[in-house]
Amino acid sequence: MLTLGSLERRELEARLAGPGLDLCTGPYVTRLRAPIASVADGLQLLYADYPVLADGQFADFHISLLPSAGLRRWYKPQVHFRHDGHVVFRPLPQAHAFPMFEWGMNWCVSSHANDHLIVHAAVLEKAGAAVILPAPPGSGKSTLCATLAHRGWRLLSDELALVRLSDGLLTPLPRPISLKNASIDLMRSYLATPEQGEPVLSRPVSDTSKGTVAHLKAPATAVARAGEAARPAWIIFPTWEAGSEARLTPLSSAAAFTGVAQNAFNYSLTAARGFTVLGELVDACGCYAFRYSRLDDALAVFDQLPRETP
Amino acid sequence: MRWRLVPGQTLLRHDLDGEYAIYNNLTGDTHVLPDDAVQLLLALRAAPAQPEALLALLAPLAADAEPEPDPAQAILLMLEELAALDLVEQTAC
Repeated sequence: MLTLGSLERRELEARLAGPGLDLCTGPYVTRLRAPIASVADGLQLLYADYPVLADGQFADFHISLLPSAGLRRWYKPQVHFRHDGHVVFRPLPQAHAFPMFEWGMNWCVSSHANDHLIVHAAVLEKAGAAVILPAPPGSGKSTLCATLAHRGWRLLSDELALVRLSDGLLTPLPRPISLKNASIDLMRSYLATPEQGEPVLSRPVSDTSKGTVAHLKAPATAVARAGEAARPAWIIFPTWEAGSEARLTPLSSAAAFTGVAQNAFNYSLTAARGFTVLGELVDACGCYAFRYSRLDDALAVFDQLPRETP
Repeated sequence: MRWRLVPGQTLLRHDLDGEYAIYNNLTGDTHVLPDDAVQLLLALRAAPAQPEALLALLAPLAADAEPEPDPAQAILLMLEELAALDLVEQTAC
């Protein structure tokens, strides 16, 4: 299958400026129009391993990131995100175009993938057992996710746990991991190895609504296995806390149920089926709160998670 | 006055180790309720009842629990709380 990395830059730009680039991420195809150099840069850097389709096939999402017209082309240029031709977000400075693409991709899935219970959570898998990490912003979820994804766990998603309503399995959606502020340099050094050097990160973009952001390339093995659903085994609510020992604390089923529901985008929309799937998910998982400060310690805990079926 | 389950209520529920998640199919809300409240709902699903009759139904549950100083008042309070969640209502019939 054709991958984005096999496209010449000229061909990539021609698709982005013309009929659109049909980019496959997990089970979804996104037709992207974005005649903006920084978007092409980010795609080449972080999406080289992803399949792209020939023109004219079915696409789930049709999005565009277009530069401003008129005077705005020169004065504080902006970028406009549209989905199916409709404006979805307020325009952002054009320097924010690539983060806006990433946020827009998240929005497409979280607003439309209603054959899943969609939870704001990272998901990783090892030896056939997946861990779901639901957490609000600022909890250290993405830092922990990036660490696990580069230390033996398969990345399913940094942002969206997709629990299939049909059978409760987790649909992978491996995409770049969003890092913010101090986490960017931390991950740049922590994930560096003598064999592979520094991890691949997009150029940091400052002064966004989330501060400075950069995206970390998803491991190629995770992208290659995007078609392999995973069975949930743990639900862990992580919190980074300065100076804290790495500590797992069992959660009651009721606390886990309400915690996941509160982090779900479409719990109400999925109604009785979502309720049933969420109950079965909690039954199938060991449920914990997790506090940590040191990534090495966190890794040790995750590599020894209790495997017994609750 | 008797109490009854709100008509159309399915009482879809999930056991959460001693508590229950209840899905209110009429409002779309989810509530986590203690076991005794769920037993009360199940009793009302079987038939509308006076609070006194519910007290009798729930008596076996109270056998190994802390004695309730005013059981009748406790049942009434529970019914009012469940009514606030649109799960039960009073009926003249």
